[in-house]
Amino acid sequence: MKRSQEAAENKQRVTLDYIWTYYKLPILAGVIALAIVLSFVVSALTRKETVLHVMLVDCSASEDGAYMGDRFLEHLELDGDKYAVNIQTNYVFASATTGTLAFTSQSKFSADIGTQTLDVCGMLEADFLVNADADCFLDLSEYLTAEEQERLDGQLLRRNGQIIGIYADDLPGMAASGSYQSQENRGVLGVIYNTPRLECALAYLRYVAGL
Amino acid sequence: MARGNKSQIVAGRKDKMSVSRVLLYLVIILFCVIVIAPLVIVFSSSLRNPDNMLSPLVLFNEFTLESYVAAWSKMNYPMQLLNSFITTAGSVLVVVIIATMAAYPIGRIKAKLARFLYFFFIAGLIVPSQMVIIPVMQMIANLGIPRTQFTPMIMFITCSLPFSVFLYAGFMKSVPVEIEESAYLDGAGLWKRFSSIVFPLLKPATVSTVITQGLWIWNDYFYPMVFVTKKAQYPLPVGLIQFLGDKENPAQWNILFAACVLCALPLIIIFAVLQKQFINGIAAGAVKG
Repeated sequence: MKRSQEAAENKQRVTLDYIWTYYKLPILAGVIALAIVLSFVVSALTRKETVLHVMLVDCSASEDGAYMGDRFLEHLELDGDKYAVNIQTNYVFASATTGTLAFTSQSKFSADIGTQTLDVCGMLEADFLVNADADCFLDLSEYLTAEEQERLDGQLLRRNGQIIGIYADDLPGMAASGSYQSQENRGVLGVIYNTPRLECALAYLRYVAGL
Repeated sequence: MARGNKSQIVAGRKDKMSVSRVLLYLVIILFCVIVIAPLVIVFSSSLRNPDNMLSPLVLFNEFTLESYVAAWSKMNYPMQLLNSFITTAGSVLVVVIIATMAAYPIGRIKAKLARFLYFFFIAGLIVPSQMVIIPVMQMIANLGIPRTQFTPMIMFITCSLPFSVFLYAGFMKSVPVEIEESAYLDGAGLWKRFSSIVFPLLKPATVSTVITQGLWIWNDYFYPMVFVTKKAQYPLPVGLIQFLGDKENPAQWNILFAACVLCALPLIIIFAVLQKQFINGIAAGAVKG
């Protein structure tokens, strides 16, 4: 009885040794493939529809972009399980120490505009004016009412008779997240000219402006 | 007299050798110090309280894991580690499979087509991928591919293939054709010859590919930062960026260093566990080459 048990255990051990010796790489590859497939399935099942994509460059936010997005989603009274607002705050244009990061941020900005996925962008005034010269931003005078323009009078960035952006430092929505609060380098928010979600982009501007 | 002179000459040569050897050792020690010192400073600073503002050159004046706890929770380390692992392992797996299959006919077919294919793959090394990121993103958007943590894998695989095919094609020439011929005579088909005979003999090249491509994919933040929009799908290098800080919110260096150690830890563990296989593979490749 004991001998048969020992023989059975030995046989199991030999089988496992055989499998490990000859099949460990295919098993490892299979585990990796399974992990990717499962991750893909979970990602597909939990995908949410993006209602707004905001990029805040050099914003020095003290709050996470995810929290800012959740608050705006609540303001829109949308279900957080079905919809998502992407507010990304970890991009930098104006940095002397992280040149690669600045290049990556600018590539991301250009690529998002080219693929029509970016709705609202905030950046420091100097960078904003450079991109405004390339017609990246919408003329907000066509979309803001006269009353709204009057309320934001001191904070509108005008150029060539157009309202291309709103200064972000005094906006309550930006102050709440600690974004663009520096008085030395003022930040400006603008709507991208080819935004696919214009109404939501304007709603976001009104929300951060407290209108 | 002559013998006395000879012993003096030998003693003189030994003195010169010991002086040169001492100088050599000094240079090596200096080089080691220059390389290891920043790592020691990072590790020492990571063991401090986040509010400890002492100079980083004051080593090991405090031992606490608070910075690690802060880094772990702030960057959601387990999720980002999983994302990094899936992206890196998946990309390397696909690169190894495709590159070996591409290099096999390139190494075996003696026609001009093979040379053309070889240079076709090598040409991919010339163009920096960052320069074509905008048209690539437009192509991905036009194809309707969603931007998730899997999208950067497309670029990782594409950018790794030229070098990997180059490596495997060169190594393929050292695999004897006679082995395949004898397998063919025994009735082995093309897939059997490739998977059972050729692929195992490419192990040194596979190890080199896994190390070189796996390292740069693990450490890369350009493609994940450009393609991935959701924080939950960020890999570790992108998660590190939030600790950099700026003029308004200065970087908390102790937490940043703790995050750096956490990001490097998986690679250190993998290397420590598989060190023998890595070195054997590289050494075998060197001998065979």
